[in-house]
Amino acid sequence: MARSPGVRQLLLGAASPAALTELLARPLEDLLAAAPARVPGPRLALLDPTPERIDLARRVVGKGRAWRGRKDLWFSPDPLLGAPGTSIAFLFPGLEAEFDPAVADVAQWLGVPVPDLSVETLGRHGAAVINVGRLMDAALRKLAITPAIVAGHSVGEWTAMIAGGMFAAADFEEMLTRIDLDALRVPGVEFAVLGCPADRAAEAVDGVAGVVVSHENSTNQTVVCGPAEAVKGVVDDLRAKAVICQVMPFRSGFHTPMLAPYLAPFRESGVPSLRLHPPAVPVWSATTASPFPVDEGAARELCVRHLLEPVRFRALAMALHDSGVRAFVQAGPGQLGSLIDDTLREHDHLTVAANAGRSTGMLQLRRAALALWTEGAAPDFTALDPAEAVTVAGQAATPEAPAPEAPAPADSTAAASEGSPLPGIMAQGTTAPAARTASPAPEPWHPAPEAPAGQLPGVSAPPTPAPAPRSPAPVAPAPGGARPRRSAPAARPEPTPVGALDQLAALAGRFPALPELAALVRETAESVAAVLAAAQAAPVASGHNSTVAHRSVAAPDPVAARPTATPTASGAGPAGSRPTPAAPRTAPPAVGRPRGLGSAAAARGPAVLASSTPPGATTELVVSTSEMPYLLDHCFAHQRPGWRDESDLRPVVPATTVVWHLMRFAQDLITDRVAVGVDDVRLHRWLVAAPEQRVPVRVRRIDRDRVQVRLGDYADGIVVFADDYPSGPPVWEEPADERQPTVTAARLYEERWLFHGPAYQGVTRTVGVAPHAARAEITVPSAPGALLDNAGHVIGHWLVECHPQRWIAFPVSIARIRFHAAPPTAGTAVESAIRIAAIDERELRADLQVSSGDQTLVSITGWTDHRFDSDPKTSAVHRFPETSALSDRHERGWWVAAERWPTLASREFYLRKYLGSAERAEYESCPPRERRQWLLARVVLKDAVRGKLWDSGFGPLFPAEIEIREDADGRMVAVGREGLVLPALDLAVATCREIGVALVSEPAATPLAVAVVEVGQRSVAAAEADARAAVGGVRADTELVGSPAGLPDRQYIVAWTAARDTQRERFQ
Amino acid sequence: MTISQVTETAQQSPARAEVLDEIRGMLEKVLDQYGLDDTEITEDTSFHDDLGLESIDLVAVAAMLSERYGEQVNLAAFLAELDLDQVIALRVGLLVDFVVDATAGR
Repeated sequence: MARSPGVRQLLLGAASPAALTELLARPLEDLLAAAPARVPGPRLALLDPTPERIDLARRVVGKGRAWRGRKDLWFSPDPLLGAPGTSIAFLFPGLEAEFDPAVADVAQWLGVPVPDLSVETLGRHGAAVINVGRLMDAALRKLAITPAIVAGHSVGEWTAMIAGGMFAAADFEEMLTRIDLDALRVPGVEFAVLGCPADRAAEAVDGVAGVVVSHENSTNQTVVCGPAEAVKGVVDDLRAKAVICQVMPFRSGFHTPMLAPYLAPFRESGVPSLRLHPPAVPVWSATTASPFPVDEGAARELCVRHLLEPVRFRALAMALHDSGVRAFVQAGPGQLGSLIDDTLREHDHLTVAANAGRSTGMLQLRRAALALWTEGAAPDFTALDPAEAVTVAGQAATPEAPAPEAPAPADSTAAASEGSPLPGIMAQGTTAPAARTASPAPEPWHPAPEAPAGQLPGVSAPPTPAPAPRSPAPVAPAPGGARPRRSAPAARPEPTPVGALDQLAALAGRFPALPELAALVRETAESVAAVLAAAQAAPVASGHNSTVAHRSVAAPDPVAARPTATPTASGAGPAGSRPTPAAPRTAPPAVGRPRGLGSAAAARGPAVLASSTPPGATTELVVSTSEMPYLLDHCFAHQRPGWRDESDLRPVVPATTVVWHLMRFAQDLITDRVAVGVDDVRLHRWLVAAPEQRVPVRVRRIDRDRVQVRLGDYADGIVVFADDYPSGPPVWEEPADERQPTVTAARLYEERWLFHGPAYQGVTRTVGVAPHAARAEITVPSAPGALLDNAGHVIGHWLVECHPQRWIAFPVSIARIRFHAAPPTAGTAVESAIRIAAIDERELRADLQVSSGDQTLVSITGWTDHRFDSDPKTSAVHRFPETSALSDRHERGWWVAAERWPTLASREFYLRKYLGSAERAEYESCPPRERRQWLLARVVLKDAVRGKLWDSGFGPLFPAEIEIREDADGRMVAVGREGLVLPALDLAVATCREIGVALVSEPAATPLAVAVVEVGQRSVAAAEADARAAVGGVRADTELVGSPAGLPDRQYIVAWTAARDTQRERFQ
Repeated sequence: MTISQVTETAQQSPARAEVLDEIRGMLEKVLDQYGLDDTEITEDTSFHDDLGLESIDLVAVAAMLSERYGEQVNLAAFLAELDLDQVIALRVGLLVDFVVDATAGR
């Protein structure tokens, strides 16, 4: 089933089936060499035309019946789109149980960032589905496949409205940042998919309280929605009657009247509030099974009905067919097309998916193009052909570049060059074009100096940092005038630590006049020594264990008090201790045993695994800090040294350690070949190690060379095997525009630009930074995955140097990793270089190389980082939460916080810095639409409390050391955690939209009060009166404040009483 | 394809072969492809990856199974025991197992 990424395809047309049969009798090479000609009549398309498959094509044509896609063969005796009045529709999928798009290569081809594909919340799942749909729309259009009508299923209807031009994409995106889609749902209801017609489903739910039909999907599929218990009853009942049922893994209550009470915010500022434009392509509604109304008010109203009434997808399919649609293109992954097929069983039509999880994105697009061509459409196959791209765009395509259908072998690739048509035939063949092999770029990875990366497609040039006066290159040109490829010692015959240090010392001796370099060298030596020490010692976060006594902390429990500098030996010891295994553990055990699908599958065992498509084997990965002690050096949230609540530290498995595990699990399956890399690594969610998790691992062999591994729903990737490591591309040359870094390796970690503890601190020298590149030296740490993690640190370093305003980023996907040699062992010094391929506000994409001397050891393409919202304030809190605050103190004594984390990803990132475990549980239990305000209140209160304590001489104080709760009287109180004793304080807090205000004082007789109201359309005086009333008195002080820059422009009145700001009274 | 080797290890009782034939016939009906290549559906054939069938197509198979073998062959109840990934990875052999088991008590 596996197809080489290189593709050959055969397109044949003839005036009659007999002529087609005659054509198929000709030698394959003749067919492939022929060029297309247009004649009406039967068409046939074949992907990968081997003699056996040509044979199948002959039989299919002989039968004379249409064949649409199985075995990658398409045959249409009478092309559907040949008849007048027929057309193509794009159908955009909504949420489905499986979401498995393959779009990284498509995004690359289009030169756009890979969309965020995370699905951990309903809102994100929806956004991901919409983004993939939009990507598919763009990809299809690039292939000159255009729809006459667009429509969608559930939230896919919004995608259709964007694709059809009813909303501006930017408006929609902006709306998504404003509206909390996760809040838009009915608590406690579930969807169940029923394998029966709508009338039977309606009958089954008739009389069951609260359960309604939400989707009339197709002739044999209906979805019902209702309270979980009641839905279960319906499902059990129908299953007993042999109806196939499945409860969906997500809950929303969309498309039912039950959503009505929750709809107000959505109606006001969600989809129905967006600016509407007349559609460029007619958009059909699945609520009415007809085009959207022209009248704007009616169209808006339909956007509301869309969420309250059933999806009538079956009726839509019938109506579209009636209107002449014959080709239904599923613009995304999933099963939407099968609903069309089920509905239009008796009607001639084509459905084809433009994306499918089990194929590469580009190959699936090609299938869609082939399918549509067979029915008479005219896709532009040249757009698919990388060879054309080379000649047209003058860009180098290389075997390494994750070009859509990277044509490594010479026999691959498709050419659509025009040639003389065979008489009466249309045929388009593919052969390896001479142009490809004749002019390979000598160093295709490296843009020529005069063509910096900023000119590559899809690359936006980030602002260049103020260039410091360039120091002379630290290394003199090599003899002969050639530019040295490295400014570091060129050859490293002895990659031992001692050798490295000696070389560094020698280097320092050669350039005594360069103080920066001397400092770099000194720090490098220290960094190397630190890595080696970490490698030799147990990988325990020594930094967390040091005793710090900067303030008084009561210790009610002597055992659980501040930890001592010496960790206890037992892993199961008292709280505060750290497990300390005797040696670095590089292979945490996987527990659990392979589990087959059932008795038959299990019985076949090895024989099945040897076949091309074995069943999935399931094992388990235990993720905890006792199984993976090195994770204590990979914690996202700094806490007080010795902090006992491990979940507050948020130890997270690094992306590259995930990669390491993916490879290990695949290697358990294939022991006789070499795992040479991983493709399509996707990191869906943070894999957090506290509390302990047991993650199911699914291992599936795709073909001889590839094994798909999934770690629960956290991450997945395809591990690639070969007989030996592939030879690597040449080591990149030093960028021509490189400058000296301003941040040394030691500062990266000490100043917490990178949060990593010793077990992951491998960057021992920052070598150079360029506008789109950076280089560093890495001394390989011993923790699993640490080598590639450190390669990623170079990206972090580049961001700190080049994007200091927005430098926080974490990996979300990696398109391709290849090892060109066995991974270097711990303690080895290697060079690491990055090239930024694309960067925008949301994402960064880079290519990476790890090398030693002249040998490339690892090459990585399409490493994609999600960039988190940050500004100087959030950045300070990220690095030093114990001495930084997100809020500001107003001169009158109250504190104000602005919500600087508009996206959910950023919100959840920062809330970890502020909330302890109990508070996080409380946050989770908040209704989703209250969470933002709840969090804002906690943040500003904690900052106000910390500010008060800092005033009284308190030392560093982490936000999570303070817990805000309600006491028995319902008043907010601040309580110290883990031994911290706080003085009694009165608290008051209020929030409004993006602003939170808080006031803290010593206990007083008069209660403290604070309020904030938005001025909005009212007069300031009216708002002021409201605010005063909210704090219960005319004696209140008020102040007009505006939103900080970067937030929606609003004005607020803050009112407060008491606290009568003590400072001022003191002065008077 | 190496499927013939794979299926050697599977038990080949006459009843089993008969059930496989029946199911093959049903799948060909669902696929709307009659007898083109009668060797292509084996016990190792995957519904999703090899035949391109989706879960909706199982509805038709379920109806044909209960029509042919009676009510005790309840595919819906059988599928309810599987998780989503298992349904997606479903192979013809597993369906044969299920039918053989479900009709054994007759």
